Amino acid sequence: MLDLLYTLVQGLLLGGIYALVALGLNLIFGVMGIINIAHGTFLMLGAYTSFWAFTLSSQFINPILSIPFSLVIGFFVGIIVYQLLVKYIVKASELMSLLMMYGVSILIVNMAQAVWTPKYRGISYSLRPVHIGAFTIPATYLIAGLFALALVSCLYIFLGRTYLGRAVRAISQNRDAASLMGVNVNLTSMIVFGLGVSIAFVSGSIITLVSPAIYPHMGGFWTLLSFCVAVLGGLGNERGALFGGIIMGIITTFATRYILSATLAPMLAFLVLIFILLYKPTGLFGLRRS
Amino acid sequence: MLLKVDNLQVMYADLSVIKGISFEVSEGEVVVILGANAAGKSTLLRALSGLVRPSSGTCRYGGVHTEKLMAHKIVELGMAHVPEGGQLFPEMAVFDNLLMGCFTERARKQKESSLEMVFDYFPILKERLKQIAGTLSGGERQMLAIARGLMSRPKMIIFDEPSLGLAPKFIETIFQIIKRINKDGVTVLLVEQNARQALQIADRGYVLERGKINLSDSAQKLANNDYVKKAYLGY
Amino acid sequence: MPDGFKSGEKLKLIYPAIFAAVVLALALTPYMPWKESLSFLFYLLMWTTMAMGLNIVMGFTGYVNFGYVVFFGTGAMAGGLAIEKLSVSPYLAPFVGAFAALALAVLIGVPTLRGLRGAYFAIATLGVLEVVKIFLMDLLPFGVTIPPTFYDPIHCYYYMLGVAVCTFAACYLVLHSRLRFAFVAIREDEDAAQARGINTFFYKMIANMLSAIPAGCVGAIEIWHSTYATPQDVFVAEKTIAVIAMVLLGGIGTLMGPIVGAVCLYGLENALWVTLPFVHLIAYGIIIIGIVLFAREGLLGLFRPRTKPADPGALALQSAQDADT
Repeated sequence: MLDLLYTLVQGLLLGGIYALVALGLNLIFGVMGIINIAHGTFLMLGAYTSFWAFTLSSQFINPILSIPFSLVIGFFVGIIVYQLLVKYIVKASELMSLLMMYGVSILIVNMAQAVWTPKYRGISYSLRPVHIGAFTIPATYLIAGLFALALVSCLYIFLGRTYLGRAVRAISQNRDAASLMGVNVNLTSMIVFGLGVSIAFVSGSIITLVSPAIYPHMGGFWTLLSFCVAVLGGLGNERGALFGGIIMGIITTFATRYILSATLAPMLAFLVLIFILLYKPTGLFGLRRS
Repeated sequence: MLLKVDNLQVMYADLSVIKGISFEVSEGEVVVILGANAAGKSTLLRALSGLVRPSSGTCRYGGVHTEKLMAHKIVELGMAHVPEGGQLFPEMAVFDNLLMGCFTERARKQKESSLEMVFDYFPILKERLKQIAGTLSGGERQMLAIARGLMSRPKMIIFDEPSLGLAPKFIETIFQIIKRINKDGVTVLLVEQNARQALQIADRGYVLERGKINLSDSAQKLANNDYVKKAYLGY
Repeated sequence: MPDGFKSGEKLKLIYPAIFAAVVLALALTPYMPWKESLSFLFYLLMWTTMAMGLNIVMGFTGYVNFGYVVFFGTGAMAGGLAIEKLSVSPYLAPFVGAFAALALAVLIGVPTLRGLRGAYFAIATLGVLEVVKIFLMDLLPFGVTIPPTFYDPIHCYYYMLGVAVCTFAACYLVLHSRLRFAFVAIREDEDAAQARGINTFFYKMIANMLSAIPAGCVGAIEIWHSTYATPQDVFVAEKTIAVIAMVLLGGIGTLMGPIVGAVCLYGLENALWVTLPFVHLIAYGIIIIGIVLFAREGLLGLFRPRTKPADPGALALQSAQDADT
């Protein structure tokens, strides 16, 4: 019983991280109809941001302190990529934008390999584990999960309560009507792209707390995983990301603990993705896209 | 002259949809544009509010050239467009839809008084603030769309087929509301297939056919014109 | 008709002659002064075949398979296992590989091609690649080893040449048969095609299977040639990247495009790899971005007279998208 509860808490924390990763993907898809297959690549850059901040500051800036850096750098990277490339394909077909972001991903990953070498790196930062009642949770894990959940909440408040956040939702629901309301769709798209990439960067920083390995190809797994989560919750549906993330977090934690071997576990998320796509091609809480 | 359109042309790919239209709307008027399906009515309105870029011609609103402006700039000048079918934000609550209406800086400052005003026009919306817009009935959607348009505090409001797909009882109400909006000082440009009702509340009218204006006259004279009677009034 | 197919129609007399000369030169290579380039040509033919194979599904029907390399990997693992465990002759292994890839294509195609379109299909195929790879990594952690007595680069080379020629012939036949009309109809507007009574699922399956066979063959030949491979070696997502880049660079949906693209990119990769690692992959990234931005018809499109505004590649992808909404 206690073991079950422990696994559930772990699943929730992991789910928070998953939700954050998927939210960035969902925002960009909702507003621009672009499937950002380079999402994990930006996440990788965020992880490296934390790594270098930690290493270059001789271990003073720990991953938690580096989150603001990731946030700002990610936003500007997003805006630069938008201005240089994405701007020109917003009106092109979904597949063309998919191919374009694919190219961006390959470009960045291999530049990272060339500059930082493909070797695995890690941040040797640990905290004393936290004891809650009878069980123990690694503190970094707890911080990462709670931080992710807090950020997701902030984003939901932004989307629900501010004029700009409402404009973002408005564009994803009806582009023309949004511009008739006075929303500058191009400018908002740029901001959303920056925000989405910024979320990816921050997720990368947070992930360095729970995942030991930082390497140029680490993003591929996270891209696919954020697709799984986003599709589970409905692509383009901002609220779906939280549901999808938590469901996926709990499924994977339980499966790795009780059912699957560690080597097979990563397969699970993709199996879930494939089955959901087959059962309902627009996701569980899927939107109509017109 | 509040709105003056001169020789406006709109092309889609290489197909000319609006083939050189000129007309004008004075302050305080209700002007109706009649036309059958595919006459280019919606395209014309989309060009006026900046959703499509005209290929040639000019369009002046309150003295400002708007033919090259983006839609969000034109809203700021005080022109609201209530599109065909309402075009609400279907997954937002009624209240959020209304707040989207006062997105522009100018309208945001008058948010409270605007809300009071639209609740006065449509008391039913006040009861539905929390409801998701996509679950409203057809008539309520149209009301919300008009209310959302009014939230931007326009000098002029453009309606695209406000009566489309509504029950006769609602059509009557909608036209009464449009008349009242006009009485309260907002200029109205109305595009309709429902010619009889539209001509009753309008001051002047134009007949748009195959992308060109064929007739223009006062509403009363149009209602008595033989051609209009035959083609649009059904007798 | 999209003018991408005209290159096929232009094959009058001069083209068959050139084709025959190229094949003859390739066939005689092991006995010629340039025989040192045998290994280079082996891999060049491999990439060309893969590009032609992917082009059948991506170019002709407009369905982008991001997990295309799964067929290559399956062919390699199946062919390798047949030789290692079942003592099948290596001369039969490519057929085993082709059959395994074909079976996988049916297995994947039945569910995915029924309901998924455009980007969703692309992502699902990426997921399939991951699942198969992780599964086989668990099953065969030490990979497959072929007894050294079977090592025979010259026969491998002839097999590869044969597969390449057959794939080219298959593409040529597809473009000159009724299949072409069904594929183009699906690419341009799948819903309309369905409304006209075309069994789109059937034709998409055919395209999917046709594109899987060459990749499976090639995979088995490659493992025979290299004598050892683990699942990590053959299920590499980068291989799909390279093949997509080749198809796009040469000209998507054309007969010659994949060949032009493969020759250019593999040649470039060979030149770059020697000096700097990763640079060829960076180049792939830039090429994909550049083609999406500036030349959606690829290299072949640059040499074609510009009479029509629409290009077949963009049209294919556009229509897949339109059908999606």
